[in-house]
Amino acid sequence: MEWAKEDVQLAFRIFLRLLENGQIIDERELFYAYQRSEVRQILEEVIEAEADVKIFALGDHLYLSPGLDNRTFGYTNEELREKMKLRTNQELYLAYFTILCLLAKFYNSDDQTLASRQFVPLEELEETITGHMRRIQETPPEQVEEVSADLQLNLANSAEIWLDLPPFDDTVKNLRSARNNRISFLLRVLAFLEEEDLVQILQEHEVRLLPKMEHLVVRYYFHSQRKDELLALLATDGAFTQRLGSEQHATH
Amino acid sequence: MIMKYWEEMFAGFSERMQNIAVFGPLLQLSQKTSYQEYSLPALGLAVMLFVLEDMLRTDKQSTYDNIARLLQELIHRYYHRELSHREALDLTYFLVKEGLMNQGRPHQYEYPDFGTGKSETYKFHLVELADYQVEEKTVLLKLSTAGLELLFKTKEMYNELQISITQLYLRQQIQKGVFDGALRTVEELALAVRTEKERIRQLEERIIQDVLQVAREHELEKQIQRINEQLQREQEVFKELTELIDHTMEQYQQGGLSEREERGVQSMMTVRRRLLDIIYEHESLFKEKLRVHQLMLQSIEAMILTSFTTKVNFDTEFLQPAVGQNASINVLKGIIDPILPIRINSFFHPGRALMPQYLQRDEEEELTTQEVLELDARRLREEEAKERALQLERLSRLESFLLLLLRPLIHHPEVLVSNILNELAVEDYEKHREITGHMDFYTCLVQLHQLGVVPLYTRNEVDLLVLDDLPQVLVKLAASNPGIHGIGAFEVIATDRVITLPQGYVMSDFLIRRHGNNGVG
Repeated sequence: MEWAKEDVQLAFRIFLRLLENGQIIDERELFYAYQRSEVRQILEEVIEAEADVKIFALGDHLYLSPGLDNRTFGYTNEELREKMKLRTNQELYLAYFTILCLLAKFYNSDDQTLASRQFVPLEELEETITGHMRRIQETPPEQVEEVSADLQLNLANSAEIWLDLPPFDDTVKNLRSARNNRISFLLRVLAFLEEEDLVQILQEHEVRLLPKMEHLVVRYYFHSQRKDELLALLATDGAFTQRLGSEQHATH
Repeated sequence: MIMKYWEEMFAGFSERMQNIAVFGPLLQLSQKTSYQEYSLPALGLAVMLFVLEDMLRTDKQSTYDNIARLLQELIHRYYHRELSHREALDLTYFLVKEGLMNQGRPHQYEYPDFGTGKSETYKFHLVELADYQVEEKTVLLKLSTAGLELLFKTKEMYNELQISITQLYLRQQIQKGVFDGALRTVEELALAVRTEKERIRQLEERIIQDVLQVAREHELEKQIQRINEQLQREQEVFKELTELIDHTMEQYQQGGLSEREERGVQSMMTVRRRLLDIIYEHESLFKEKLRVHQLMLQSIEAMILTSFTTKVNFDTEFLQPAVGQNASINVLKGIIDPILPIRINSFFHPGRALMPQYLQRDEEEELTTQEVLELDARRLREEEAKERALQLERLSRLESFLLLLLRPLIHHPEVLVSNILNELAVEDYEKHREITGHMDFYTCLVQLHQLGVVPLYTRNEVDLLVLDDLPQVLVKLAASNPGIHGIGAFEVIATDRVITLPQGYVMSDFLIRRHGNNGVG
């Protein structure tokens, strides 16, 4: 198959602009270029395949997602820890868990693709996370230990850090920079998402999803093949964990 | 027979139940255990009216702070109690966040639909967060469509009829000379047009998020049909209203004016200016209609290509298994990776050492005022150049539309737009596709239609400086093309016929008629 030089240039220009900003908004020329089937073909067959990214169009917006475990364009755990101003991997784990809980607050319906609500109060998010952490802590200790020994880091050993923090400290002046309470931790993680135009924190009390987040969720996750990949990832981890547990049991 | 009677009786039952349901959250406020000393439903309604008033005035004042001030004042006047601002703010949060906004979740109302025999759940918001602005730290509130309709149902009118009825009020007020009232009515009209636009925006968002559901419920067809009917009806009335205002102004200006009448003329001028803005907004609904149509087609195409009919429940499918299986950090990262930002590596080039170096500044390379000014000026110049290029492109497109529409009048007294397009389809199919697929073409036709009889003057024949795009291109065309100049004047008249274009757009067929220089056909 032969592609025209101009189409390849346009496809590449779209890709570079997306790398720069993560999204293209209000750039008619690039959006029209994306509408051309030749350009789209180059993006899908060459750029997406080789760079392991996914490009989506929604309305007149274009987005780029690094996808699952992208070694070139995805952040490593260490880099993300720095970006979110977190000290340990346990905290980073809690940050990932917070983001997952946040998404679960908005997308918790089996038959709808729309976010189920306008905003979530931070207190409610904190309570949800605490609920899950308590559930994990109530799991019989030997089972947790067996797993954590080899996987080093998981929900169980992060639960303690979370539950040791008080929910809130009303003596703190700058909530976002404090490190001694759960709400401040949430604010720090959410501030990272806010910088990326994914969420908005309202008066340090509530959080709402912004269109970029909603569009990424709908276009990336609501896709049978990609969803299966994620479920498989979760299942493999679970199976691995269980296998590890039983092997260790046998050794003991 | 009984069946038919039954069907007739329960036709639209679901809609009736939904109309009742929206009052639920307000009435349920009276069952709250806090603040029992006040009538919370009345305070809730007062807050909604405050937000409505703010939307009418487009003041952007409906913040929690301002609502707290309103409540402070209301409680002082009616209950003779003094609330501190903090107390009023607490009451506001309770009333708005918990009561009217249900902590961000939609209000839900379950009922049996006797019309279909199924059980239904109606989900709605009354008050919403206004469009986000990340820089603004204060929260602005607005009424949702359901919230607006609730208020219209309590006193005024149903939303769908809102524009027409408001137009009627305006006409009465102008005729009676109640100009301050007219100004308010004109603002209500502006809100009604904005609400219509908001509905289109919401539909777009729904298409983006769930095109299948929209297709299933025929939402797009219903909305397009409503817009078509409204546009047709309201455009006529808008035109009449502008004429009525002009006529009233003329009457006032003839003969000596009393001081009161002079004030009236001032208000009238404001009403006229606002009405023109609204008419422009109203016309853009037409463009929105085409945009939403295109979006629907694109989304369906995307859905077919990716076969995404999959739904994801983050709570039960990802979060709970992750908790249950004590998922490792990399699995959690894997799940949220798709929404995380892109990382780009920066590299150092040794040649950089030879480039001009700036002295290190105290604050992370903060620019001096001079540099900021230079940067701003450069950005401004670039923006202006970009804007100029876009403007030239727009004008040249407009010129090709006008040439296509007016050229037949050189030899014929009148021509239908459908005939012009049919001929073009035979002569040059690509161009036909390009023109009928371009939204500006329809806007151009609608604008021409609203101009009435349009004289074709050259620049020398026009006394005033022409600034608007359309007259500017008309003047240019008349000057450069003697045949077009020879037409003298023309009018674009709407007919009862309808054209269906290949892309599925439906529009009225317009008749373009030649008039002599004296405006006589």
